[in-house]
Amino acid sequence: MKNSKSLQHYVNVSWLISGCLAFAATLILFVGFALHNYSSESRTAQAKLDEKALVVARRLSGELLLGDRGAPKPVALEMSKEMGLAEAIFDSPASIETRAVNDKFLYSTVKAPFLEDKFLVRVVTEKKSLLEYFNFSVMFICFTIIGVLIGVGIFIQTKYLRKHLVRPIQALVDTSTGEKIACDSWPKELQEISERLNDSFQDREQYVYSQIARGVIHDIKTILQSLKIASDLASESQTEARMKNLLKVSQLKLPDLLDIVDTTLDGSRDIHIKAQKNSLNKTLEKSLNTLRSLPISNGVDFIVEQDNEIFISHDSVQLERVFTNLIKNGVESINELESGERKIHVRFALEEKDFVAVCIEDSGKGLPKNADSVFRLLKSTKEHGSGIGLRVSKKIVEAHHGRLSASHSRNLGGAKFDVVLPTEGSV
Amino acid sequence: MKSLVLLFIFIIARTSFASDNKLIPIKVFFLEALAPKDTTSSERFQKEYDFAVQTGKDLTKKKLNDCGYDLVDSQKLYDASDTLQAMENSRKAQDEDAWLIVGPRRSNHYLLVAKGAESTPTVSTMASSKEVNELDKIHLTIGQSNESMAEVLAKETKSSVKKSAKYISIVNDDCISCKDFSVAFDKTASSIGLKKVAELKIVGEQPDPKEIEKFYRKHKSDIVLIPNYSKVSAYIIGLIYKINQKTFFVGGDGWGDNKYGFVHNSPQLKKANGMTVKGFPPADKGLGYFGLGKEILAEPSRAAAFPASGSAQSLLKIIEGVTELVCEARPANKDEFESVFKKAGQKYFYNPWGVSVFKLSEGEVVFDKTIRK
Repeated sequence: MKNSKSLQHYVNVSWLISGCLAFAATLILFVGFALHNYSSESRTAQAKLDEKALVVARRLSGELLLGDRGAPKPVALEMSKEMGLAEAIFDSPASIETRAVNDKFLYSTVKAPFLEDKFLVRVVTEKKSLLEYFNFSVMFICFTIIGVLIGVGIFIQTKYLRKHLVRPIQALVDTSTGEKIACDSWPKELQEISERLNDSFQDREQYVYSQIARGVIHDIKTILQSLKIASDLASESQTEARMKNLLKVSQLKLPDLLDIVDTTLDGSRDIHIKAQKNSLNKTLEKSLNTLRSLPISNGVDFIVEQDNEIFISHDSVQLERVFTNLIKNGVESINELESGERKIHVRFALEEKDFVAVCIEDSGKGLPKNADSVFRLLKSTKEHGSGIGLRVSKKIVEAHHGRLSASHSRNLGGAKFDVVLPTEGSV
Repeated sequence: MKSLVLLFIFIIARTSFASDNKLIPIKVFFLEALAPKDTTSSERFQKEYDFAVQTGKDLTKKKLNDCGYDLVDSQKLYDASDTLQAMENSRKAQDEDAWLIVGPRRSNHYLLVAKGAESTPTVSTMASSKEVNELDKIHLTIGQSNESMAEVLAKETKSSVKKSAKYISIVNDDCISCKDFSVAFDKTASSIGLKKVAELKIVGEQPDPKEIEKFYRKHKSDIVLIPNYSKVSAYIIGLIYKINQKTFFVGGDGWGDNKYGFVHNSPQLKKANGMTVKGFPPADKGLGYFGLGKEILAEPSRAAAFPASGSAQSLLKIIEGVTELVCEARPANKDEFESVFKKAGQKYFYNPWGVSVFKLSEGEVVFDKTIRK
């Protein structure tokens, strides 16, 4: 749906841009025509006026030749009106030539035919200003037509796109959820995309299923093998001390098994937080203590930096799982290296009063180039991991309205995880 | 015997050829103004003009040839709005040794023709202003005088309306004949008890309608005198008719008749009533008043084809006059023609028709009667 809307948006914007260009082109044309007409008519105006002057002079001569019975003045007035002149006058040459002239007017003076010595005829017209060459009504009509065309274009194209592009794309989005939808009226290319997406989804579904199953089963199988060995040994005659050790193995491995089951389940469901205002330092400390006691942590140097004790509303059980998972990943990553530093650096500080930041760095083998991809399924930091652990950790942090990000550690050369939590949230 | 026959044929042919050679060409220059803005009307007028001239030439050819003359005509039709062409063309005709210049109809055009061709005889087909009748005897008109027409119109108007009727005039100031007609009408009207209220002077063929409407509303009267040419007359009648449909319109000889002019059958004048006068009756009656016309009437097919306009009748009468004048006076050249024209022109070039009254009834100009003194 989001894609469909943005597609329509771009189509509308493209129409609007076209419209603006058309408006601009029309405007340029109008200005161009007006300037051209102004320029050309300015050149021909005098010639046209001279022609009019000759016509008026002939007509007035006809009247003047009739003497008292002629009507030159009314005729001059009438011709001025008919020809759109400001004035048409006749008088003796001396009188006409001494009349004042004004720059705002064009003048043409000719001799009255057959009465050359007695009368001169002068016609006067106003010079047209540049503005008079702009035909605003035509421009308005053109703009209106362009506006209507754009409106109609947007309307038709929107309807057309909705039918032939938007709906198919919406359907494709639906298809990507696994439902197979296709319609004969779709464009050929979209039908092909639909089929490919559908096939691709099914393949990916199978792949995801098998990878997750492999990861989870591998973890469970490792624990079950340990339990089987312990169980086998216990069935033989053992000393009391030896029996206690075997029982301890079972006590240690069974919570891990439950943890794997919980994590797998949490990966597929919403995380429910039971928040209480507790010391975050203590939650973190519990995780560290748990990990320090594990055999895999032998030889790993835990460096912890922390400010004063910080109390925030949080689900201490869930956040302990997060810290444990992140630190344990670090320890396991360190163990995968044959040599080099063996350090886990945990920094814990209040940031600008509103947030508390926990930074966990290790000197392990590090993260892939796109570090944040480790939160996606099947992108585990471990060889046989399903990626569910980090994904669940992220979900838990986000359920606390915080954020969990992954990056490369500059100090230790391994992975770096930042957990940022609000000090006053609505958890 | 054979050589005698050949000799006889040679003598006859030579005599005939010699006779042709002796024909003296009478150069007649026909000059008329057209209103090119009204293309249909102008084209129709031009066709009828040509038809009338050709008919006149055909009917007089034999008589003229018998008298030793041949009528050689040339023609110039020009734009009526360019009056100066009347003078230029008449001067040109004079320079080309035309014996006679015929036309134009309008008085102000004709007066310029007379100015351009001072030493060449001219005859107008219709000009009727006072100045035309006061010109030198070398310049004549077939048109009836404005005084006669205005007198008849005033008297007929008086008998058509109530006793206390008043009138207003709307007169083209750039039309000499119109102004003369108005003056002559006023003169008779005042003597018979028609009272003039006011006069509006206008210019051009499409004067300001607001000015006319304002003038009429101010001086509302039963009768409106519009002694102008047909286009502007129809325009004014239309404007006033919209204000008062009971107005009685009276006009001069410029209104035209039921074949010509804008007053007749204008859609906006469907119910307009009035009266006009002309120097010519319709052709079926007018042709009976002179020789060539009677010849035409004698042949029904020719009579039916002959144009109904006064102009056509006038042209025919002028060609008849030329024929009679040259056959009687036998001038040998232009100078002799000018001399006999000056002495006896009025005997041949006159209006035989008197004054005809036409009624504008429900938008149509219909002949009513002819009054001859």
